[in-house]
Amino acid sequence: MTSDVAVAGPRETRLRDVKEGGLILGAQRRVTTIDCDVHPWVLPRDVVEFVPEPWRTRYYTNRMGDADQAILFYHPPVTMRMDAPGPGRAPGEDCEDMDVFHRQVLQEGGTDYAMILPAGRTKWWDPEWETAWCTGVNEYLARTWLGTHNWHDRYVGSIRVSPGDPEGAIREIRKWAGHPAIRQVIFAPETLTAPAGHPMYRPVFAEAAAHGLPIGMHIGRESSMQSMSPVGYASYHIEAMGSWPTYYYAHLASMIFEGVFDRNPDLRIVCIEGGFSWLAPLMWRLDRYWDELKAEIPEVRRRPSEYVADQVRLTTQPIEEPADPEELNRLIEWMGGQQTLMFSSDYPHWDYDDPNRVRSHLPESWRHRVMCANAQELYGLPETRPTDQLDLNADVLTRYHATPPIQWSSYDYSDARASHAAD
Amino acid sequence: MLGETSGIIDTCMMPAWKSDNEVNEWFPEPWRSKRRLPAMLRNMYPAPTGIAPYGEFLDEARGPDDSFPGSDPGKIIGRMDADGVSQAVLMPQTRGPQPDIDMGTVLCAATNKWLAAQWLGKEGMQDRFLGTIRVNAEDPSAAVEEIETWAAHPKMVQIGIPLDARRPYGQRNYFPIWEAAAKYHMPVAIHSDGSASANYAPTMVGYPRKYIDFTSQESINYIHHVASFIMEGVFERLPDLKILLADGGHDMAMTLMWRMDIDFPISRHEVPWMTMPPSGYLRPHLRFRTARMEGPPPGPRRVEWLKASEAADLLVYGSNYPHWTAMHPQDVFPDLTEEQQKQVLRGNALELYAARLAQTPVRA
Amino acid sequence: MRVHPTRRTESEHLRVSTQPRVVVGNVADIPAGTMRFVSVGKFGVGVYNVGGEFQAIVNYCPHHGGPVCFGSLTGRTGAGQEPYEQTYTRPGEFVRCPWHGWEYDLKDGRAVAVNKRIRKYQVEIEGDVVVLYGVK
Repeated sequence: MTSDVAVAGPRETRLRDVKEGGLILGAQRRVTTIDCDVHPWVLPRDVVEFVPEPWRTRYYTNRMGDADQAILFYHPPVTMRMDAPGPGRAPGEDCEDMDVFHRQVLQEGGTDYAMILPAGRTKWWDPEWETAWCTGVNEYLARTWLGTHNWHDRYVGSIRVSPGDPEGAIREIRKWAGHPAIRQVIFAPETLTAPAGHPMYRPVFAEAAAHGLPIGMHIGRESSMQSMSPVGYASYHIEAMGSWPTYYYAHLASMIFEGVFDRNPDLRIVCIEGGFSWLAPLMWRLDRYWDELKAEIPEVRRRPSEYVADQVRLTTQPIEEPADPEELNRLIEWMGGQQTLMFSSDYPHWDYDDPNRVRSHLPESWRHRVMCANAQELYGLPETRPTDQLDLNADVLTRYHATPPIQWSSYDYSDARASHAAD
Repeated sequence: MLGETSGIIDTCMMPAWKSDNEVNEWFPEPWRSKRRLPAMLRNMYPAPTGIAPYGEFLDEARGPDDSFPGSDPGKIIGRMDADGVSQAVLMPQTRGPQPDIDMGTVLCAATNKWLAAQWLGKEGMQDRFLGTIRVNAEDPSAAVEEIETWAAHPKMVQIGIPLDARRPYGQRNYFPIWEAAAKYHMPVAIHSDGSASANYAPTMVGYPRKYIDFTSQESINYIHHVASFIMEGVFERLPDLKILLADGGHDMAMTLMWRMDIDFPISRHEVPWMTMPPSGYLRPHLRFRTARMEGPPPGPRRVEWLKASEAADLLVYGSNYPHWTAMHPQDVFPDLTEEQQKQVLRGNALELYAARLAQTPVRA
Repeated sequence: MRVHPTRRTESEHLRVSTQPRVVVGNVADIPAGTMRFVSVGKFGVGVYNVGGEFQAIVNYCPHHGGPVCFGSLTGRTGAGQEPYEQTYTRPGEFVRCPWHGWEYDLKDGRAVAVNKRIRKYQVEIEGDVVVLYGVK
C-alpha cells in the first residue's frame, strides 16, 4: 500500500485495476467479484423490537431465543467457519466484530459486492407468524447490515417473505422495493407446503416481478423440520445432503409446468446454495417430458430449458470438486452456465467456497461472467466502483496471521497477535 | 442401428394380471374371497387418457377381452421378437407398499407363484423369460422366507422391491433382505410399483398438481435409497450386493455422487464405517436401466456426457414395456460405440446376473 | 468418473533442512495439548505439543487453503467391529481445519478422510527450547 494516499476528485476517469498495484482512495476500479450469498448474524434480541404485535408479546418475550435457537437434526459437525466472528460462537464468547466480518467477506477474497441474505429458521406451519418475523428481520437488516454496517456501500441485501401468506409477502415487497440496497426477495424452499407453482403462491411471484426484484430460494437446511424425503427420513446429515437440491428440482419443475415463468416473463428466480451440477440433466429430462406430454399444460408454450436459460440463475456454492477440472468446465457448458451461474461463497458456513479458489478454477473465458457479470446484470450493480479504505488495507494473508476472533483451544497466538498489530 | 437378432437382454418387461381381481385367484383363503386389493392403475396422478400419453400403459399390449396391458404373453413375446430381444427379465408389479403388511406379503407370494407358473414355466416360452422374486420389504422376515422359497428356481435372477417405501432402504430393519439376496447372488431391482400404495408425498416439497410434474420427477427418488445404502454401510457389509435402479435415473447419478463426495470429508464422522467416498460405491454396486426420457439431446455434448457419466458401464438395457415410456434397443444412445452398445444391450446384464445365469444357460 | 483425487503427494512432504532456524519458545511454556503459532513463512506454522512430541504443520489447508492452525484438536472417529459401532481414539492428535472440518493427523500430516497430506516441518527440542527448521 502506498504512503502517499491522495483523494481523487469525483471526475477521476482513469480506471485502476488492483493488479496494477496503484491504489488511490476514490479512484474508480473495475468490479471483478460479486458474492451472491453471504450470511449476517440475525438474533432475536436484535430483531424483536421490529416484530409487530401480537407476535412480539406472545412469542418473543421471556426466553425468546429458546425455540429460535434450538438446534435441529441433520447437523454438520460445525455450522460455521470456526474462524468467523459471530455471537455465541463458544460458551461465553460474544464476538460480533464487524471489522473481522468486512475483512473476511470483502478484503480477503477480493470481493467487490456481497449479497447479504438473512437465512434462518422459518415458521412454515404458520405463514402469518412467519410474515411477522420477516417484517422484523427486514427492518433490522435495513438498519444495520445495510445501514450502519454498510458505510462502504458494498453490501446489497435481500428481504425475506413468507409466501404462504401472500398478502403479508406482498406488503413486505411493496414496502422495500425501491430501497437502494434491496435487490432481491428470498424465501426458504422448505417454507412452502406445496411446490412453488401452486396457485396460492402466484401473487407473490407476480408482485416481485412487477417491482423488478428477483426471487431467490435459499435452502434453510436445519431451519425447518420439512426434511422428510418421499421414502422417509434419511438417517444422517451426510445422507440428507444428497437430497437437498431436490427441493429446487421440485420447485423449478412446478414453476415451469404451472406456467409461472410463462405468465411472468420478467420474473427472475435464483437457486441459492444448491450447487449446480444437477441443472443440465434435469433440464434434459424436463424437456423430453414436455416434448411428449405438453398437451396437459397448453399454457406452457416454451421448452423448460428455454425458460430456465432466460429466467433462472444459480449460485455456484457448494462448487463441485471433480478430480479432473475439465469435468467442471464441461458441466458448466452443458448447463449454459456462462449465462446462468453466479459466484457465491456462503460465508460463513461450514461448506464455504473461498473466492480466490473458485476464481482460479474457472476457465479464463467465462471467469468474469461467473464471478461478476451475471450478478451485475441481475442485481443492477455497477461495472466500476470507487476504491475505498477496505481496498487499501486488503491482504489475503491476514487470515493466516491475524488472531482469530474465537479461540477454540489453549493455543498461544501471541506471535499472530504481534504481527497483526504491526499492520 | 442394430441388425439381426443379437441376443439382446431386456432387463425390464412388466407382465400383468388380466384384471384387478385376477390376483385373488392365487390367494389362500380368507384373502381370496374376503379381501380386495387396490386397482393396478395409479390412483394418484393417473396418466391422462384423452391426451398424451393416452394411458399409463400401451393399449397395444392388451390381451383378448381388453385385459390389462402386459397380461398377454403373446404380445410381450411379439415385442421381444420385433426388437431382437432374446430374453427378458420379467418385473411384475405388486401395487407398492400396502398399509396391511401381511396383505403385501400375501400379494408378493401370489405374484411369484403366478409368475413361475404362467410365465416362467409355460410351454413354448420357457427359454424367453427370466423372473424377479417380488418381496414385501416392509416385512423383512417374510421377505427372507420368500427369497429362500424361490432361490433354487433356475429362472429367478433377481429380487424386486418397490420404489416407494416407508424408510430409505439402507436402514437396518431391511438388512436381512439384502443379506439373503447377496447370499443367493441376486441383484436387488427397485422399480416404481404404481397403484394406490401407502406412500408419502412424491417430492420433498409436497404434491405437484399435474401428471407431467409428477411423472418427470418420480424416477429420481431412487437417490434417497442409494444414499441410504451407501451411508448405512450396507455395501461395506455386503461387498457383492448389486442394486439395479429399474426406473432409470442414471442421468442424475453423477450430481448425486459429487454432492455427497463434497460432504464426505466434513461429515464422515457420522458414518465412520465407510472406507471410501460415496462415489467409490457407484461402479461396484449400482446399475441403471436405460430410459428414453432422460439424457442429453443428440450432439457433441452427448458424447462428452456419456463418457463422463460412465454410461456404457452403468447402463443395462430395459424397455419397461408396456409402460408408455417403453423404449426400443435402437433408442440406446447411438453415440455410444457399437461395442459399448452391445455392452449395454447384453454384456452388462450378463455380468449383473452372471451367478444366477450359470445355472441357466442364456439363449444366444 | 473419478471424483476423488488418488494421485500421491510428493514423497518428501516433510521438508528437512537446517535453515532457517527459528526458536519457537521454551519447552516448559508449550505443555502437552497446546500449540504455539509462529508467524514465519507465507502462512505461518503451528507447533503442537502432542503428548510430549512436537509436530509442526503449515497453516494452510490443502483443501481450500484455510488457516488450519486456528482450528481445534480432536481424536479419530472410527468404526468398531459390529455394525454401527463407533470408536474414538487418539484424542488431541488430530487438528480440524476451521473452515470445512477436514482433519489431519499431526503425526504424519495425513488427512483422515481423503488421500492428501498437509505440509509438515521439522521441529526439534534443543536443550530447553523448541526449534523449527526449514520454513522459508
